[in-house]
Amino acid sequence: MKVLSFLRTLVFPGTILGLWLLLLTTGQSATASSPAATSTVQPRRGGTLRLALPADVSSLDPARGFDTISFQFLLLLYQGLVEYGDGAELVPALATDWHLSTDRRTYTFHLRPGARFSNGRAVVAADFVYSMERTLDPKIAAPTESYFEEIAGAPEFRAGKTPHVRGLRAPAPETLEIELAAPDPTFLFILTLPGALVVPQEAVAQFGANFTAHPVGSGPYILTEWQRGTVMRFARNPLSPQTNRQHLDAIEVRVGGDRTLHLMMFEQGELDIAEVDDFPGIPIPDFLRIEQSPRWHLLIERIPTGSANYLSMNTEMPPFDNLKVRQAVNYAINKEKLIRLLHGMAATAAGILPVTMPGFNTNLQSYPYDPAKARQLLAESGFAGGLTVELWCEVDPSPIPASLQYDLKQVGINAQLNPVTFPTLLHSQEQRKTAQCCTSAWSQDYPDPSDFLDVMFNGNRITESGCQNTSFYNNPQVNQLLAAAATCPDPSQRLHLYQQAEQIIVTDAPCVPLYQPYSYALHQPWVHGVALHPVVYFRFERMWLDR
Amino acid sequence: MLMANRLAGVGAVIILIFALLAVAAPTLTRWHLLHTPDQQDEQGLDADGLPRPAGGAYLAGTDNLGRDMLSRVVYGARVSLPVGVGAMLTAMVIGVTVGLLAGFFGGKLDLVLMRITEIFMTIPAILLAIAFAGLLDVSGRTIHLHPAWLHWSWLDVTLKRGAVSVFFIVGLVSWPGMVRVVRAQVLALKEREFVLAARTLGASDARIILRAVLPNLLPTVIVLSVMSIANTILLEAGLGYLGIGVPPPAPTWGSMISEGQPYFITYPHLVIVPGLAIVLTVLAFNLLGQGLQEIVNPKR
Repeated sequence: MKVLSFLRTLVFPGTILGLWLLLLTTGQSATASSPAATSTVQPRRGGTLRLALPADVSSLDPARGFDTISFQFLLLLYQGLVEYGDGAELVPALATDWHLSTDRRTYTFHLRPGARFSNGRAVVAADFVYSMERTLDPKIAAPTESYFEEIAGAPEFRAGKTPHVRGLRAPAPETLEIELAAPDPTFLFILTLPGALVVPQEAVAQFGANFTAHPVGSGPYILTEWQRGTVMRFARNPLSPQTNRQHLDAIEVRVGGDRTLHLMMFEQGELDIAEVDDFPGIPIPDFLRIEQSPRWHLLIERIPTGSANYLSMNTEMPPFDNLKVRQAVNYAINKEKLIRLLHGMAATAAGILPVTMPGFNTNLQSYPYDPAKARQLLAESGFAGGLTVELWCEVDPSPIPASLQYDLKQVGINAQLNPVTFPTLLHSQEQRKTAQCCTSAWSQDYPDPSDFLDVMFNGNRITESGCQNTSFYNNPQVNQLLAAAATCPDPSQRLHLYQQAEQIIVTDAPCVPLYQPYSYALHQPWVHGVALHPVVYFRFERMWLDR
Repeated sequence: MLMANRLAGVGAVIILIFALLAVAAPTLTRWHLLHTPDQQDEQGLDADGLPRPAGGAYLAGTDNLGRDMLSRVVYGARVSLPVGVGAMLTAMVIGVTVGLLAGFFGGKLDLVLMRITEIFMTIPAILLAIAFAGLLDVSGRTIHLHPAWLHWSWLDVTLKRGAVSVFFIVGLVSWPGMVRVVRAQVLALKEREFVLAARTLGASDARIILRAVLPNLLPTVIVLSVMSIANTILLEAGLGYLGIGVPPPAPTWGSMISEGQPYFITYPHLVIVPGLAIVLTVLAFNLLGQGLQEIVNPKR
């Protein structure tokens, strides 16, 4: 999913377009857990968790909500077949087990017996068929719809040629079969997206478009009150067997007010978590004050995110059709300075993949900060006298574009900033031969390298507009490696292919990997279980209070 | 009147200081008395990457990129003052022309011109300016002032985002206020004896306008213009604040405030220094304008 604003990546990533999913491979325990979070005390039952949001969540209907905030609340109310464990690994949720057919196209899931919706009815396989068909229904226009199009028969269903999706079958109440059009090693990740959470047909039929205000699911909590723009309350779902996720009696979300107000309320003890929608969600200087205060500094959770920020160069437009110019730009950017400007709230990036991604390559050959080398490369490519380019960025008081402009100026590249609104930037950078170079960002949809490399650097995906390959980079060798990796059944071989592709991409320099932001959470000492999840971020249903 | 003149003097001095600083800024930089406004200093930020407060090597502190605030404010005057004056001139030319024609000829022309003016007045200037500014980008946009089927390329105007286009835009939205005053003055003037005398002697309309009416309008126009500079500077700052003024890295007071805003609580100098520059110049032009008004029209 796309993240653009440099500041927003620190402050509010992913909320524009997509779900903010973070990732931590199980092997890399990079979470900086504070002592309060790693408490070994037995969880206590009871209490109300008090949160605040600046605005209402967009939707509590899993077919419609697909952003950071909604997702965290959807997981209170609904469940899917699989879910993330403590890390980015997948564990059973409503499915007890599953197996993949020999042609790697058909998954057979066995459902957990005894699971019920909050309206009392048992969850059956047909509910999953209904829920995913609902996500695929063109009338619903679900934001996660495109992820499910790889299910066999989905295009025909969407075109209205068939009443049901051929690849979604419920041969028995507790057995679900999902057949894909082609093997996809990442499909189980897609089953964690909101569009795969299960809803009961009768409840949707009863409330229609207003289902969001009357959500019915099988999750550990139920919605008891939602006064738009004022308050949202959740209470324990008495029918849920997941008692280890029901420590809290209730969750109360106050809606409205800005970050400064929320921080004030938090410091006075009126909120249990400072901000749940933003990273860090409070103005940066205030955050630094809190980070350095003895009262709060142990109560901050930090986690590297599955996202990265880039300076994209359009390889179809001069002068960036010249490899040496692109490499010169890579040498010219002082990334350490960017991190200082971001007050250490991000890490420098060498390659395309975030540090949290499986297949992250520590041996990647990248570009050190070397302005002399940059000037030399520019001279070799005939630009000894300097050159002028147009750098598109977002209208935003972020210091990043000005810093890039300054670094480029030092090596003789006069980058004229073209600050435009966020939608304009998005539209222009995805349009062929429009933006010479631009700031861009990408955040994972699920923890797999394909979600970065295939989306942003596959030359076969270049389109005239709406193109996520914002460098319009097309290297047949990379395309081949990506195609081979996409269907490779052996996980380690697959990651190796992605690493090869990433190295070629970095050498070809269609972009400058700038930095990878961290996410933060600030909580009261009596809140436990806050440890940020690498993909889901906040998991309120696992928190408990001891006061 | 004496008081007003003293205040006008204060205004004039402030404007003069800003103007001198603006003109001398590159020289001061060459003599190392002033930092380069775009220089992103290593020492300009502390260990956490935060701005330096006022004092020490940086008299007015540094901004969030480690650039010297004093130098940026002084160089900002090189944008704000010329844009303010240029916009005033644009507004004056349009306003005086429309007001003169409407007032002098009256009738249907007056009706049409005044209704158009009123339409412009109903739209808030900043909104109109945003709309105009939104049309521009850094690489330039060609505006065709002729019908598409006529290939009159000489009527194509290419506007780039920059100081020139900003004063044009600000001028284009600032003229309606001037029209009303000018028209009212013209209505009074054209009934005066010397105008009637000129007419009786057989002078043409053009001659009457240029030789009799316009010279008598001048004092009013000068006062109005000086006071309107205050508004055009504010409008330019507004556009800069919204990020659609003169593009970076050129320092403008408005964009400096917008960049400093997230740091307002902890590092207020980021907002106060450019804010003070805006307040001082706007105040100075208002004082000067009022003083001039007293001189021109002592009865009031």
